[in-house]
Amino acid sequence: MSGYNQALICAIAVLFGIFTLDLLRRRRLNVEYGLLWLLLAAGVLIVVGWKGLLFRVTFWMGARQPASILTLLSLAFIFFFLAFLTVQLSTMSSRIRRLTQVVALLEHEVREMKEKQGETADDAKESEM
Amino acid sequence: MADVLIVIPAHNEARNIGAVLEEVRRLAPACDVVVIDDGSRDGSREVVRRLGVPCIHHPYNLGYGGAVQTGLRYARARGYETVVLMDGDGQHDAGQVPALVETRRRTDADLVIGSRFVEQTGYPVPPLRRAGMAFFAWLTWAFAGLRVRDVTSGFQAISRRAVAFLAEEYPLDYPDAETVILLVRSGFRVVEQRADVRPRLSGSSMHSGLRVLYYPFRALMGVIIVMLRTLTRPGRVA
Repeated sequence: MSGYNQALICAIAVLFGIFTLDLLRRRRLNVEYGLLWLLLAAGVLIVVGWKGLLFRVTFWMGARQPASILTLLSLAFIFFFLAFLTVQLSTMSSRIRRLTQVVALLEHEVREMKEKQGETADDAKESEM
Repeated sequence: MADVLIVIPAHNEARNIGAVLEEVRRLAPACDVVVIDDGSRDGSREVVRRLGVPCIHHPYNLGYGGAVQTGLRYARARGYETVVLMDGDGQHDAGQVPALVETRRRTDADLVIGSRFVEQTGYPVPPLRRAGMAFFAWLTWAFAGLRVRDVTSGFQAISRRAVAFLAEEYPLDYPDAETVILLVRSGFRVVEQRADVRPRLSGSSMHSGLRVLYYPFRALMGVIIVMLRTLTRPGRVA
């Protein structure tokens, strides 16, 4: 990887980190998700900025090209993040379903109470007359 | 308040639900009834309310399991002794509700399944669906040790303690075999009783179109997950 490429990737990682922080500041992103993206940006900076580390990891893993290791790490992150999001989505679905049921049951109770109140009011009017 | 609550989940059943409720009033007058309108867009809710029957309305479609679960939560909150599940499409004969409830009381079972196949009832089942039913009946036997001939029947009577359990644990989407296996493996008693089922009055079943292809995989997955859950949580609930 040339010095130019290295600088370019590091700049992108820094810009991405700033973009994430801005989303967090504007409350467009929750901290739990923002933290993951910030960790990714930090990881890219470390792996790309510290050239020796990337070569060492490439050697340990028996790969020929550092680019292969970068691709592998990226894929691992994407799979992890997708799994994380699917879990979050399932949790949200369960919560929304539960909330919907609670709201439906409460709405029914309110309707019943209103109907009973209406009947009581009608009875009171009739007894007054 | 009656001891028995009939829960009728309904999704776009405006053309059928009126006749179903009239029949329930006529043939099972001692039972309370509640309709769970599962996000219908055809005015089912208005039909039900016009008849003066309690109707709990989901603002959007939660699916059959979600609708049944709402009904079970309603029943749990009001302490009914027995809950009967009936379809809103007119397939189930309300005249058989008392017999289902009686069997539940007599046998002290937690779930009584109104079965089309305990005796020959003449109910027509297409070959592919029959094969699917046989497969899930075999799964129920293999994983719960129970021979159930009609595991997909939605005509059921459930005891109070099973209602309390299912109000939290009721499987979603296609609960058939999953529910039976879950109940048996959690220590509840399940029995079957003959019930006559008619063709639906109008409209199409929830097991139609592409869902027929999805159903066996989803249901099988559900069974596997129930097995894993009951293996990792071996303590009996009932």
